[in-house]
Amino acid sequence: MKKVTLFCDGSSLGNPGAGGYGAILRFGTVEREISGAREHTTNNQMELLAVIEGLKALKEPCEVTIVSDSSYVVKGINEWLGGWIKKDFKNIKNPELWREYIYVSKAHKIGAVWVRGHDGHPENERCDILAKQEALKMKEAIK
Amino acid sequence: MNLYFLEFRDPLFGIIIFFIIIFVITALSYWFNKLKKREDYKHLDNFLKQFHEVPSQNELEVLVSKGCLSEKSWLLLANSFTKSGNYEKSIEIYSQLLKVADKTNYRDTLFLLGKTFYMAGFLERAKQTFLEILKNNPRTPQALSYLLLVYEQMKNYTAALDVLEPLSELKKDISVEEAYLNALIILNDVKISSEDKAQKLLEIYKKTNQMTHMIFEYLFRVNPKIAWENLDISKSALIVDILWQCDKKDLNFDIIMQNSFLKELYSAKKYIKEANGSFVFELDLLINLNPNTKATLGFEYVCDNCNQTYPFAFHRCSNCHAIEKMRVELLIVKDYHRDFSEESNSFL
Repeated sequence: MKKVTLFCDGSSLGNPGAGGYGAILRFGTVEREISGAREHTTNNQMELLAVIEGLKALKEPCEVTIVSDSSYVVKGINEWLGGWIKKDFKNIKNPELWREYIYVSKAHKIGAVWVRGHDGHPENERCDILAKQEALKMKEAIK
Repeated sequence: MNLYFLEFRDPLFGIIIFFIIIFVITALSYWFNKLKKREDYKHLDNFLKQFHEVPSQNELEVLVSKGCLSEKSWLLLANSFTKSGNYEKSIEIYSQLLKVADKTNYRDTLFLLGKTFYMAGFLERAKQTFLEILKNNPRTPQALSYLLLVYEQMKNYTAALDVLEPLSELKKDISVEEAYLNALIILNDVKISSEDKAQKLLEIYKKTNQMTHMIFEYLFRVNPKIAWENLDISKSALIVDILWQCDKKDLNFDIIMQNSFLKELYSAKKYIKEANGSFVFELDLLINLNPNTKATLGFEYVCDNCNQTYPFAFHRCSNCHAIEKMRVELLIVKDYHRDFSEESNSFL
């Protein structure tokens, strides 16, 4: 299995409001940037969508290390998801997105690592820029 | 009471004194060793610091002007720092060299500084550095090429297009870059509707016959009908990953039946039964495999320019920066989505 690192970040202007996500897929020395936006969304939804879109871009099973500044995403993946599945996402926010995450992550071996946001982590800063750019573009477009 | 105080003539007294002496010696030697170890580490740290720290500006000035260490040696050192991913240190060396070294290699050093800024992700500083080179030497193709990359990363595609003009004056073939940037401008414009985007992208495709994967990736996502109508089926192999992931309801069977590769592809996917085998090993295997076997196609992407392999599709190779050089390779992988059940697969 190829080892890939997925850096990701999400942003929502107003939370909820226009939102964007940014992700960097890194395999060895090469990488690909992914970004996108949604009209009305929350920070957590965008954080999770960044992971989903990043995983969707992988076209073969990989060992993926997700690096995110969102403890919601990191703890969700590493600790809470098993319990949520058992109780069928009852009273859990964003069940559809989590189900999509489970679907797209099925082929991969996943681990998530938390980093402090805005702490000089270059890839996290880049993802933050990508996410904010997309959110701003969306905000301008729906004005 | 006397029972508790042993007399010094008592043989037990001698034994106690003996053990006390041993204990004192052991404790002293333990503390001595610990102190010595600490001193040794301190000395080692000081020694290693010499290699971690780049000399200060004054030290560097003296070293360069006195020729203690040649400029070439500093450049080699900076290059090795860059290769090991320590961009901060190489930037420090280049910056110091630009201040104190002679001006013969000024432009080259400035270019290396800009390139390192770009690699480290300092896009604004990289932009300023390349613009500084171009201010005095506007006909520097390497600086122009990197400035284009910087603008592209900054998502300032219009500025990137402007850079193509001087590149074309330097007799560089810019047709692929132009098509690529124009496609990016359209794809990133949130004010254009998806229908208009599709039309504009098709215009680029028809005009240039390039950016097939990029354009059809979008078209198959937003409007598969238009995508099928405009697809040059001789180019099916270029977008085999997109075609494989296309929903059955979005397929155009009239077109598929006209092309043997497409018939084999969708027979392998078990959407149709129009092929008994294929010259492509992976498709042949899937066509003849028991339908209950959990196997499917996976994809690997190779840059034809530098042979770098990717597990994800790319439009510009991030290793050699070539555009439209992606080749899709087929893989047989386990089909994890058949009989899909929800369960966590975190390895942490």
